[in-house]
Amino acid sequence: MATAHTPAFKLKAHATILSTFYLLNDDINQLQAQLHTSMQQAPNFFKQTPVVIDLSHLHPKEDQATDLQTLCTVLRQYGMIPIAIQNAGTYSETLKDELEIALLSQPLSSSKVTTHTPSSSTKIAESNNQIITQTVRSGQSIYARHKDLIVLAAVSHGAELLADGHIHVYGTLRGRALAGVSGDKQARIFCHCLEAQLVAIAGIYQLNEQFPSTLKPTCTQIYLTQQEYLTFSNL
Amino acid sequence: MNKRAQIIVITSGKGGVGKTTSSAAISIGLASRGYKTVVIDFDVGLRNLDLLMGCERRVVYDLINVIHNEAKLSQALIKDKRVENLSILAASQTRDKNALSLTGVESILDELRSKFDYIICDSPAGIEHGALMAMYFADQAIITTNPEISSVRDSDRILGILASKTHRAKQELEPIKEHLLVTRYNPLRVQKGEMLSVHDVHDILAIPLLGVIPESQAVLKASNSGIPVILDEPSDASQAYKDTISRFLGETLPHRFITTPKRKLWSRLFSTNIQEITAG
Ligand SMILES: Nc1ncnc2c1ncn2[C@@H]1O[C@H](COP(=O)(O)OP(=O)(O)O)[C@@H](O)[C@H]1O
Ligand SMILES: [Mg+2]
Repeated sequence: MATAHTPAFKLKAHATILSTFYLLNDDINQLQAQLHTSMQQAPNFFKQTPVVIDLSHLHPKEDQATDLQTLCTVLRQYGMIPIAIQNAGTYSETLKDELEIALLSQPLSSSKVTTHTPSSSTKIAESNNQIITQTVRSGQSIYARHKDLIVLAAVSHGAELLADGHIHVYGTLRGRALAGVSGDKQARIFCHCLEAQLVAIAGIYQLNEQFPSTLKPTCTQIYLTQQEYLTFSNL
Repeated sequence: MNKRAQIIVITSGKGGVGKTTSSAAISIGLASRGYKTVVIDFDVGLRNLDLLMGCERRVVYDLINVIHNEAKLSQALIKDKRVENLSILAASQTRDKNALSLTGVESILDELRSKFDYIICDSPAGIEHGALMAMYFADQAIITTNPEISSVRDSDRILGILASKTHRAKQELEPIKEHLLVTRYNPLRVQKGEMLSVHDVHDILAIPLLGVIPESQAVLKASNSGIPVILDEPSDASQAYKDTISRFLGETLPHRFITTPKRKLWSRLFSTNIQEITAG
């Protein structure tokens, strides 16, 4: 005797790419200053970005002192939406109720979240990249949020590329390119010809004058080594 | 038949690169080819174009007067005395660029569109209000660039603005057609490495090359006499501008004046002869 009723909701697990906000110390002034500079460089950078707060980098003492309520308020001021907290250490269950965010017992590992699992179903997987076909001109800034950025033309001096993933430039890269801007150290930059003003991966940057002199003006990739050195190699 | 003029902005970002010189030459060039052409000076506050065109004494009403309904468009248009089919709309010397409004500019352009084939807009320098007014309704843009880094960077910036802040960009219409015009080109200084080559400029800006105008004494002479250089027939600049017009109208022509002149054998013989004579 089955009663025909349509369900009001369904729950499905999806691998959603989330940014993790690693708090590196508990100096709120320094935090605000850094957020402020980032905002000035890319005003929409944090807009509507859900973040998971990670406290694993804090020393136990600082951990105690961190005012999570204030932290969440500051993050929201800059457009981020704190949705969960992980590696909270000594922070107990009480915190999450006060802050109305989830407490993740099993931290999202970065490799896990960025892996794209192709589904066997008929649903077409959304591609995780943004393609730009025109020259990116001086004064323009493009940010591929949670994506790779692919530019089929040149990037002018004074232009800026930002991506959470990799950056590919099939023309000459003359401007600035910042890959893995949300902290993905696996991100790389590939370009057809490197004349960039600045390149950065996960916040580790190098100016043009610091580029290795042995580099040939041909296809180049830039990545971070285990020791977190920026490495340039001709392809 | 109802005309629908093409609006062409002559722009650059940087000042002093040759926008006004080129606006005068291109408008005369198109008019001489039989197209009804009007050239508008958007450099409000400076007024250069009428001087260059040699009609400054005939300016009664200007662009701002028309925008403010202080004069009819027909009263403000000055017919060129040398070239048929050509009219000039001067800028005001007494106002500043903020007197230009989008709606005002739009209504003038709408009125001109039905009467002319080409509307040439001579842009002021910079990337602010005045420059935006000049480029906003453009169908085509001639990016005037000197072969030096600062000019190329400014042109690049302008190309970005053309592709994002103009009417065509905002309405998601077909993008503005872009042309590169390299001006004040001096092959000798390029050879010495003091200036970028046409190839370098073209490579960085990556838009079709419409023409190369050599650095020329004739241009200076022309602006002092009020006779635009394109009318100084035998001069190199005049020929280069004429080639540019032909290319704009769809002809394929090789670029001239981009290499250093080769010294011919006879001139070398001649100069050695002189040396011999003076030595002897
Ligand atoms: N091809 C050229 N050769 C020599 N001088 C030039 C040339 N083109 C422009 N000039 C000079 O450069 C100066 C600026 O030119 P102008 O057309 O007024 O530039 P803009 O309108 O871009 O400010 C003027 O003195 C002009 O005579
Ligand atoms: Mg001018």
